[in-house]
Amino acid sequence: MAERRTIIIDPVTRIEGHSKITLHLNEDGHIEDARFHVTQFRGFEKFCEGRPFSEMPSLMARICGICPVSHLIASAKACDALLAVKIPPTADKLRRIFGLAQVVQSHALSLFHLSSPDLLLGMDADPAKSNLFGVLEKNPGLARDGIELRKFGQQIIERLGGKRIHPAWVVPGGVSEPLSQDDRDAILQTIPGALAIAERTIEWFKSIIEKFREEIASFGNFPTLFMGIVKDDGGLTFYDGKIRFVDASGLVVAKDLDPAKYFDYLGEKVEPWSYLKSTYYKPKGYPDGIYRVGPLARLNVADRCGTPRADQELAEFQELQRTSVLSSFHYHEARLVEILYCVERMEQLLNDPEILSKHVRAVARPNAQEGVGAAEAPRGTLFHHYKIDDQGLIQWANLIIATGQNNLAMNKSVLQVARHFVKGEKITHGMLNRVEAVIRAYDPCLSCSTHAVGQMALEVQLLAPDGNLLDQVQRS
Amino acid sequence: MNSKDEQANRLLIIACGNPLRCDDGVAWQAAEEIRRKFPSPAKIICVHQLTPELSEEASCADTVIFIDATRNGEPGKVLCQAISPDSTAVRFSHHLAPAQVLALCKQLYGAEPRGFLISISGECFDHGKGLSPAAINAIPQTVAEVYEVFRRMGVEPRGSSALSRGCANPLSASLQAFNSRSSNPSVKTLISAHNLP
Repeated sequence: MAERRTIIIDPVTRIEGHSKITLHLNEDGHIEDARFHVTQFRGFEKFCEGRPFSEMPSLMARICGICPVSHLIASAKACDALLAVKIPPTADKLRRIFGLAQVVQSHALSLFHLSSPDLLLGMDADPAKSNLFGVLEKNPGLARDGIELRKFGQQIIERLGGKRIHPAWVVPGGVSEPLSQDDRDAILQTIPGALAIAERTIEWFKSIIEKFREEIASFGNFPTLFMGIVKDDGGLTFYDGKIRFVDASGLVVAKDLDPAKYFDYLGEKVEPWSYLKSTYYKPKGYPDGIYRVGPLARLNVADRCGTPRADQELAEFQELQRTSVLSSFHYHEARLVEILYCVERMEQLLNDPEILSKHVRAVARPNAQEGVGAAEAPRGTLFHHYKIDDQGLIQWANLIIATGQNNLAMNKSVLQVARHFVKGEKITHGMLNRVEAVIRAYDPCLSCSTHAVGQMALEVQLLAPDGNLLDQVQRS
Repeated sequence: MNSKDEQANRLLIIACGNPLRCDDGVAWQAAEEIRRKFPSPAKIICVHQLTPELSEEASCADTVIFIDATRNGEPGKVLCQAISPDSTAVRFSHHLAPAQVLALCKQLYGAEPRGFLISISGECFDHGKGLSPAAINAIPQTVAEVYEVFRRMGVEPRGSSALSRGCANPLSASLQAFNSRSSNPSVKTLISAHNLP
């Protein structure tokens, strides 16, 4: 009898965090099952218990070195809800600029540093060359643009927040310091350069996409729901609005949902083989309630971007498919459209006459014992939910992170890619790289998403050399 | 730009580590000490990890000194070594080694600053903000190594008189006080660790 075999890719490279993929082959050597395992573990929801709520934005920013600003913003919004205040309009705008800058630098990291080796050198490239140096050799301009765009976003974060990583400028009730005219002018000076890079990169991407027809067809190309926050007019937003779901055909399934009531429509499921929870749309149940978030989802749910150049690109993007754009390969292009939007939108906000106002913080004591903050992080919708006691100490916290919301889709995508590309007796680097590349398309941030504690199921299997299961211990 | 600024632009110190993981943050403390000890002619950047963007900063410098903690070696040991651009063995594109930052600098911007890596052997890399006595005691030697690079560059930093007079412990008063409570013999053995060209 033929042996049942397993291929393990460990670690998955060029992503944020630690994970592995297992591919299970049947007796005929065909892929029977595939799983994306997240092997790292955090504990933020638990160890913030007992801390003053006012510490939460700074604590939560430590979840991630790539997107601390998103956690700062979602956390501060949850704290605003605890204070029951409406923050000053200038603080609202400054927070938006802060968040947009972070989206630019995070998307630039994903596209230029992590995925461009696949896109520029091809999925079958020599693994020794599939890195930034390989990109640099083939297209130095692209590598330089990536570095410049990251720097653009980071410098805005540094100017506003005082430092690039873990800035503590966003606080409950607003922001701690107003924007100076010098900083505003300095940021505005860098906008044209960033716009030029965004435009150049979109054109470059359009010039290469034809080479990836097979990947487009098989990289997470299946029907799911898509979720994102939209403005009242259906426009793209990263800061505030209502939740909207669309289905694979592009029809709106649910709209005007209150982000603060996320628990009414989102469920979370723990699987024994991963520290990453799987989130699903409750009305459809698990696992049929599979949905995707992030750039692809946002462009599928939004009616418009609201800035001139990004709206042109959005129209072109939405022409890729008459229905929702389904292939997760298109996350890359969606990221580029969003970069363009972010830069344009930052320019609009920086030119707002109110932006230099000194009134940037509302001060209050807690007026509610429960608060939810939601925002669009680079990788998708982010929820922070806190409960406090009479002294303002955190009693309970729940975080729903974009990568968890994409977990079901990532697993399904790995299986689809593996079934399409991993065949025969000889397993090549190109085959396995495609399995990794589909994960990279989602740009998962595992540091952010593996935060649960106390409810994680743990399964330990003892296997004999021939693969037979000798013993199994399960804790839940 | 005045001459002091020009001089500052030629020297770049990149302190790398995580100050929330005990001795992993020793480079940040050393950088703070360098900044305090001689209002330095160098530009000092503290980072959690080395990213490609640093190559652009490095391209503006004549000399780049990387300071980082290491798990290797006897705790408290300080080793300064010259490094050259090296683009091999890159696995993660947003987390680089010092030699890879220099390689990017060369390939992207055509600049070849001299590079040094000062490694500080740590003892404790647990969660927490404090440094072990071994790491604390390594800071004066780290400052001395940086000063030695300055000296070889022909730069006499302001406030460096204590060092040039051969002061045994150029630390600030607070760190001296901390040091006086610890006794790490490894510090005494480090003077021979220079590996400057």
